[in-house]
Amino acid sequence: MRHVFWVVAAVFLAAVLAFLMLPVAAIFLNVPPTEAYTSTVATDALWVTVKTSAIANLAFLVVGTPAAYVLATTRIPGRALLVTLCELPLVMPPAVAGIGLLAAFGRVGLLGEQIEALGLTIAFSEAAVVLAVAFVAGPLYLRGAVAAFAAVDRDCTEAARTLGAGPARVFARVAVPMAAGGLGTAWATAFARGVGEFGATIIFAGSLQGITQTLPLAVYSQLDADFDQALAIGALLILFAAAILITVRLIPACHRYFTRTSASRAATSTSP
Amino acid sequence: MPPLLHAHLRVPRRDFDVAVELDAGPQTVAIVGPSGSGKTTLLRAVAGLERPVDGEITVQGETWFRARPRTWTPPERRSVGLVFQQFALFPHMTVRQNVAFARGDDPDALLERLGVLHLADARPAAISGGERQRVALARALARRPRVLLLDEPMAALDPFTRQGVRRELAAVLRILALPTLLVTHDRDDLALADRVVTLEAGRVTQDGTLEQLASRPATPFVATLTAHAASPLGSSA
Repeated sequence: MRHVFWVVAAVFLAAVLAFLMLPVAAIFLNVPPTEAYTSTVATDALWVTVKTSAIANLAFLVVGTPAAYVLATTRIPGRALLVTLCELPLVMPPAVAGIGLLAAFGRVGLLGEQIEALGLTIAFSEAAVVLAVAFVAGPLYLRGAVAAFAAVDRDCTEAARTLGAGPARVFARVAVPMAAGGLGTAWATAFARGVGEFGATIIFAGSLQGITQTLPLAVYSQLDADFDQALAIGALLILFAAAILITVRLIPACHRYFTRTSASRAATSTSP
Repeated sequence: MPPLLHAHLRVPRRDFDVAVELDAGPQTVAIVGPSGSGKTTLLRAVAGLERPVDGEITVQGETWFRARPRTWTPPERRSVGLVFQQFALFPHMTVRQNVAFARGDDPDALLERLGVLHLADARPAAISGGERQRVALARALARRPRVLLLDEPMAALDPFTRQGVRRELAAVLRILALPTLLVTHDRDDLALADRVVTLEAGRVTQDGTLEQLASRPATPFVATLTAHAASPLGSSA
């Protein structure tokens, strides 16, 4: 009876793997990712994706890291509500996120007049892609960063205060390095989510080649025009996602490995 | 002559308020009490990590906290050396960097004084408990504190190491002659103290030398604490 269970479980596992891997294999069997470089649609989309992702990631790293530290370490009233509000975009359907951004920053949106008064147009521009990516991926980083800071030994940050360090120095010299592993993982996950962003971007930024068309949007645009190109861009995105996934798995392991290695090296050199 | 440290404070806790009045000169005062009696709260309040709702904390005439009119000195501007129970060394820094973080005295001189200079380039994870304790003490002394706060500094050590470290700590405390508050659960640590203050449910129940406490225990806790006082303290270590 026990053998039967394991056989059935193994069959189910094989079925799961086959189901998950079949579309991936189908893409790579049809066309290699290098094919993507032969079309300007793909190279333009790659450049837009890299540029907008870099800006959006930089923005939520710079703004989100101190914000996450505040949420993780201070006893501000309504903290749970603030965390929930920050996480809301994570459960929001991407299309709703896109229309929300349009209603906020579009020409006839909530801040439309003020933005226009500054001589700026955000909707359907590269800036819109950046905002869309930051809106859907930023909260993912924020959530991971809050967890990473909450895990930092409070005694260490308090010890730093008693050693003469003000809040900014404690944050930069103690909290961030001690939370580095968790922050790295949170960033890699958010980065991958941002690169794959589709729904909010197409509604808020459109799909203009070389301006707002990112890799996922290029796959969609090429579906009718050149299916092989769509497959090649898809393959490129899969490679990218796999690299991120491996990074996410490697960051904590590397952190542990280097800490242990330097510790044992020091122990060897200091042992009497 | 006014005391070097005067702490008169009230800190609300879930079950009771920690309300303590304590003066200390250039001496080591052991703060002893059952778990949750407010010992660590007292230390944290002096360090500025806990905000009392009432009272006053002055060190060498300088007010660090006063309820009315409101005076508050943040922890980084107080001159305290705090050694945590688990030492709280920064794991991503070397021993030297840990001490240098205080931006005080020469880290190497301090490490040498405490006999751990040979570990200067090691990370805290690579050194023993006793060595970590010495590094934590070196770091706490780096800014030449006006008050030394030791929160169960021997609790994380094994009994054998504890014995040696206790002897070294006694020598350091003698030389420093600072107002030192030593929170402890370990009766043997009382050998380090000039005075013992017992704290129960947030209140000081007795204050005096161990002999005074032993001769007239005010509460059953003090009686139990001093029950073995027939043998000289520390001899069982």
